[in-house]
Amino acid sequence: MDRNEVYERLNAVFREVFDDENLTVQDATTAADVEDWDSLSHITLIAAVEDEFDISFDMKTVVGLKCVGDMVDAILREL
Amino acid sequence: MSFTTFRFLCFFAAVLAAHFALPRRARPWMLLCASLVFYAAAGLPGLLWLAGLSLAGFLAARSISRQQAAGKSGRLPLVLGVGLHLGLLFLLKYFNFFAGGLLGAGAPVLSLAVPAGLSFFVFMAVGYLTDVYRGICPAEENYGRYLGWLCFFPHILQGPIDRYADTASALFAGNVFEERRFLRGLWRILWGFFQKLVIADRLGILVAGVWAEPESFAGWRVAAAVVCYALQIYADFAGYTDIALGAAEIFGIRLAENFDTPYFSRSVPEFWRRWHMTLGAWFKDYLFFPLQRSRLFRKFGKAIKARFSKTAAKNLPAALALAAVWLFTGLWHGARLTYVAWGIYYGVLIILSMFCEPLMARLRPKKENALWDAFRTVRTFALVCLGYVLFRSATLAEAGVILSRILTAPFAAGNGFSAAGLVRTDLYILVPALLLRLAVSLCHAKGIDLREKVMARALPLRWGIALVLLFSVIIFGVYGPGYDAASFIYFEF
Amino acid sequence: MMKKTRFLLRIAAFFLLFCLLLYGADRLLVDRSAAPRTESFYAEPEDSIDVLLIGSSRIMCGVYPLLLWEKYGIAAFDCAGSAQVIAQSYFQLKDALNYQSPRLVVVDVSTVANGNVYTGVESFVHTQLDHMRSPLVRLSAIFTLVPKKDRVEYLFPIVKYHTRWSEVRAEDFDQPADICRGAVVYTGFSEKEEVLPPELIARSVAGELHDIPELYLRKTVELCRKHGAEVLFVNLPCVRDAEFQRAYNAVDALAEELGVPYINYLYEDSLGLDYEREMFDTAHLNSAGAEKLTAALGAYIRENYDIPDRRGDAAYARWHADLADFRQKYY
Repeated sequence: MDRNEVYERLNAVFREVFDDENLTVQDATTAADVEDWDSLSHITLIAAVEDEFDISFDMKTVVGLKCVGDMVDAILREL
Repeated sequence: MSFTTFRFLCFFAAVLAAHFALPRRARPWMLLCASLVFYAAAGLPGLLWLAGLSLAGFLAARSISRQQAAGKSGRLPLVLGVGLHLGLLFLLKYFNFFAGGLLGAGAPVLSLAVPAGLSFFVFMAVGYLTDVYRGICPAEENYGRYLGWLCFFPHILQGPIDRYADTASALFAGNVFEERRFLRGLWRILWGFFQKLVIADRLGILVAGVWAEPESFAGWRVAAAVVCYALQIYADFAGYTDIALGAAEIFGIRLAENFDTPYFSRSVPEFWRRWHMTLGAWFKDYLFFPLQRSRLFRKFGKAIKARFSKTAAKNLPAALALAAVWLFTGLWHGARLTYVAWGIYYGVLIILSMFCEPLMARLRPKKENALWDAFRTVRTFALVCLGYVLFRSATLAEAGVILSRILTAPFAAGNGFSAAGLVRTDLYILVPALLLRLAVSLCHAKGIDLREKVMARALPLRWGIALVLLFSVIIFGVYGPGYDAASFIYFEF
Repeated sequence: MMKKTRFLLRIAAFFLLFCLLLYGADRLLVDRSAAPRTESFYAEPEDSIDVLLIGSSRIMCGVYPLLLWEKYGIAAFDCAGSAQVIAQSYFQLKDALNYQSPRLVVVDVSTVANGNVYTGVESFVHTQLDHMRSPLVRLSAIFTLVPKKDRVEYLFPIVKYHTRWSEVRAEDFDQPADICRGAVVYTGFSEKEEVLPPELIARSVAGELHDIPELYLRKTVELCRKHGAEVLFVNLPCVRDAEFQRAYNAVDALAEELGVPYINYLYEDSLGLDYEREMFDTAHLNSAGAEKLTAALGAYIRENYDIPDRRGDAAYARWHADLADFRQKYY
């Protein structure tokens, strides 16, 4: 799987979790850029991403995620 | 040793002199010895508990690391280490409370003195062990370094609750003397003293006076006292934190911030992202996240999703996790029913706000509206004050008396504030001091670095401001014979 | 290195400025209600006083230096302090000896009855130590007399007095000079107590001196002799029960051992004191009683000690004027 494919599926997850059909994320997107992305929805988002890609992040990775780009890197690593 | 005592000032001056005079490599060890001396002043038994727990934590972390290097999970030493720390915390601090609550009058009573700062350094140690397990930071191989971090005197008694990964390296790698940092630290310490001695302790007189006999005051005065308590506890705890962070800054160590002008918050969840931030962060990373990500919760979430809606699947497990977090947050503050009730109060508010979020989103005005924001800020502050009625009262009955006085007798006849111990001259000090405090908060909210601004001024002006602040503390501070000793509020935790 | 030295110099300069301002604030805020009296001592020309009186408020109220001057030309000064115990009087004397070289020191021993203590009433101790001018004596007094936990407020009186910022008045610094040479005049009678003559026990019935007062009586005598001054112990008239009187009588043995004369005025019938009319309260003489006692004490001094008559001395001209004012004010 390459980055673009990851983004296709990742955007779908984001749109579902944040209930926003127009939401599109990129490498540089951070929590500050998305409305309602707080620690509560962060956990839901992580769980949803894990379910979508059938992977499991470890806590070190979760804590280290600073932006969506990091998340994509982590997904690619786990796949 | 309380920070705002002459004794501490002498101690701190000695540590500064030693830090300045010693070679760089000796400085961390001097700080370790100084911290042990500082902690020993609170009593020798506490020092033994600290030594024992720190050794246990150190060994457990190393064991986790070794096991993980050998391919195992390292879970056993983690559970043992965390269990030991939390277990001792429970035993020393909460056993009597629970035993008494469950078994009534005939319950066995443990009469061991609670080591100072126990709640704080146990949480720091548990955080460290968990971070080692998660691979976020490597286990410390040197016991002296681990102990030096844990018992570092600025944060051992009342926090902030630091992360090993963030502060430990500075403690041992830095320690370079830098003039600018030294002065910044001193300014921060001075401001902390001002908040504590001039504002917090003065308000404390009024608050104590009204809480002692609420029924002798009109309801509106009692309400005013509650607001004063909100200001008091902020000045007290923020003042303490400023002294701690200022002191650490002088040594080149950056401790975590605890406050971000919390009373400007526009919602209760936002308030808890700006008040006692290190505690909130600790509960988020070490209780809330693990709970939410646990298999049990995720199974529960999936089950809900199947039977109810997607929103419910997101909210219900979160609500449970939040309930746990708030119950323990309340309990962490003390073995007292009113603290638990206070925690539950916020738990309910936050869970409600989570469930009502979609509704609120629809009601909210779309554009930036200053009036609406002001209303939200005042509303949040009112809710926070309501919580303080519980927090400040020793028993639920006492809280009830306070509340009923405010609600049922707002304009009844009663004593003036002087009966609570506050006189007119106190007002002449409090009002300007509070205005100054507000001005500083406004600057911080706008991101202005006040210390930089002050330090950029010409020498006479800088010295003038420092001397005015210094002498305000010396002359208007609430200390010395004639005032009862007012200990830091968070010291008992 | 230069940068570090410059920095240290700036720190030192700031600290110096701070200390100066602190000293100023201290002087501004310190309680000055007793200032005229204590300052009048230091206003006396050096080595001009021939007799020093030390002890408690009893001797402050019982002996009037200006009357000693009037009748006998004795230049005396009363350095006693309210409720001042022997241990503290020792330091008070030590401070006084840095400014005066008396030929005789009269010691009021009544506080031997106060117990094995270093200090009397806290607020008086504070004022008395605050106004002491010899810094070294003041420091050693604080470290000897005051318990460890309280020392900070003595070393830095501003710790106690900073709350007075709203009470300080310009008049506090403009008080009229005290001419009484350390005496405190009580006229009439106290409303609180009725004074009846004491029931005296036999002089030979004596208790034992407590360690601390005994030590400091010995040290006082030693200090006086080192400065070439003679010593006289006195106990002024008062109405106290047997336990107190046993304490007063216990001084007899010590006085004999040290070769110091001891006049216990309780037993001096020749004084002819009318307790009901000449005592202000059970512990202090009023102006009528003090006149009597001063005359008796003055006669004793004139007879037994070589104290010059300074009445013709031009250097003491001020004393005549002050005496006239004193007489006019109180008699």
